[in-house]
Amino acid sequence: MRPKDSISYAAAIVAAGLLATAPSRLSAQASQTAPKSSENEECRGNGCAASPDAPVAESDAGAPAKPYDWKASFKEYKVGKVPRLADGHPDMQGIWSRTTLVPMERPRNQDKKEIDAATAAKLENEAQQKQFDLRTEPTDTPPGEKTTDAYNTFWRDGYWFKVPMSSLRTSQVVDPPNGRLPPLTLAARVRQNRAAELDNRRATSYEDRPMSSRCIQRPGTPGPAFNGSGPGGQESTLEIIQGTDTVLVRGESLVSQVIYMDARPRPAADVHLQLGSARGHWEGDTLIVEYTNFSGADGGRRHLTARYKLLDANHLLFGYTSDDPGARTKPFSVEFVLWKLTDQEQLVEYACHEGNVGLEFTLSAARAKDREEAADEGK
Amino acid sequence: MKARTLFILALALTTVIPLAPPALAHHSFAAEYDADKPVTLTGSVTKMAWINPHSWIYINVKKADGTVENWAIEAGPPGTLVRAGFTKESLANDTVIKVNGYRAKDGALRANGRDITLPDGRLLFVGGSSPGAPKDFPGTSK
Repeated sequence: MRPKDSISYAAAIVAAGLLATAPSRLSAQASQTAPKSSENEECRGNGCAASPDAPVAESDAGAPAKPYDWKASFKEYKVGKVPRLADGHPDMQGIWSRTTLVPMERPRNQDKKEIDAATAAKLENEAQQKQFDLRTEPTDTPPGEKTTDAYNTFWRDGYWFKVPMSSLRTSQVVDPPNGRLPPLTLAARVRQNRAAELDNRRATSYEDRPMSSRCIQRPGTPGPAFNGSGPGGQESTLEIIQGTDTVLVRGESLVSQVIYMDARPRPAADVHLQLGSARGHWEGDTLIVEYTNFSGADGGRRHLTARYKLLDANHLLFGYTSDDPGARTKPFSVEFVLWKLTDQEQLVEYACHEGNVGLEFTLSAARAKDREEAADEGK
Repeated sequence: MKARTLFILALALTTVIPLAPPALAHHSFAAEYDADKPVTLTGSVTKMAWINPHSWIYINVKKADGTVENWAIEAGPPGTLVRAGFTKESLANDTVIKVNGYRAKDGALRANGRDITLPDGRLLFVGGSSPGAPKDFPGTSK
């Protein structure tokens, strides 16, 4: 990127960020051109559930919202026979998939909170067909510089198995009631755009590569909150192990979290942890996990509550409420259903550093391009 | 500045800002592979490396002049392969496969494996049936 472009670009992201946090009517209008959920930081790099990219058919404005009541909301899900541990608590142990076709945000032309089972089945079939179509698209289509949508589709979730509508909900976001995430803060938008700029330009060093490419962090994957992942994702499973004083949530990709259940004190306020400090307790059959002590921008002010409720042997309702003043302008809440992989004996290790030759090859590709351009200029 | 002017400005700005594409892999396609260089390779497997974050399949490809090149084909991560029904027996050495993919930008004998089939077009392995996947839409309201 040339210096002049950089200045225009920086001005654009700052201005766009300001507009994204602007109040009232202006904000509602601007949000119509906001990134799709697949471009939000929550699901980048992990495959996203179906995107709400349908045309706008209604305003976001609605009646004043009631505060989110997780107990009432969780009661709307059918509960069947729940297996239990010796101590009487629900037995959530096993390997769970967070793949779901339920979109992160409600499509703008959808005003219903749920769809019917026939529509859900149709959407499942269509989503898998889309994955097939991506694989077999002609290779001589104009590819452009960026990518081809078919990149590795063949290997991913949604090709070899149908990603299910794991509930009939029309969004994972349940609060705000319109099913859409509150806007990013200005600071978060600037961070996101800066990361995108680094990601899209020719690599100069491993240091400008995304955290995911460096095997450090995968936003949106377990640790500590996570979202449902749509077709085209990978590393979409997690394992839950319940001990006497701890619950372990072991993500397939990169991180595990230990949830302490023994009411031990929290770390001092000046201790900041990447995954936060997790303290769990049971409220009836729901495991409630309160997170504090986060690192990162405004990590000290960030608060997260996660909730797990087993619906039956193979379905686990997961939800969270995120209050993160450094990232979103308002708190929001999410709910979706995980499903158990009953044929997996163990979580297959995703040892990302094991053979992360991608960094080396990314840099060698960039230097090859440099040489090509230098040769062209020399002609 | 009037709200309407601001709104028009908002539209203009949000249109020109290059938004990140959904980066589905752990690194971007374009950073490594050249979408302008699609390749179709047929060769016999010399090694299958079950390695994270991507598995690699090595094949010997015979060129028209009779010489042999050993190509490295990038595949999915082991965990995803297992879920897809891929096993250790799925790709024994000497199995002849056909690969559609895109060549590495640095010109090495390396490509991403967008699609891998047997030479007659049959797929290499049978997909998982996602046992446990909800069939009854448990989110249905009571």
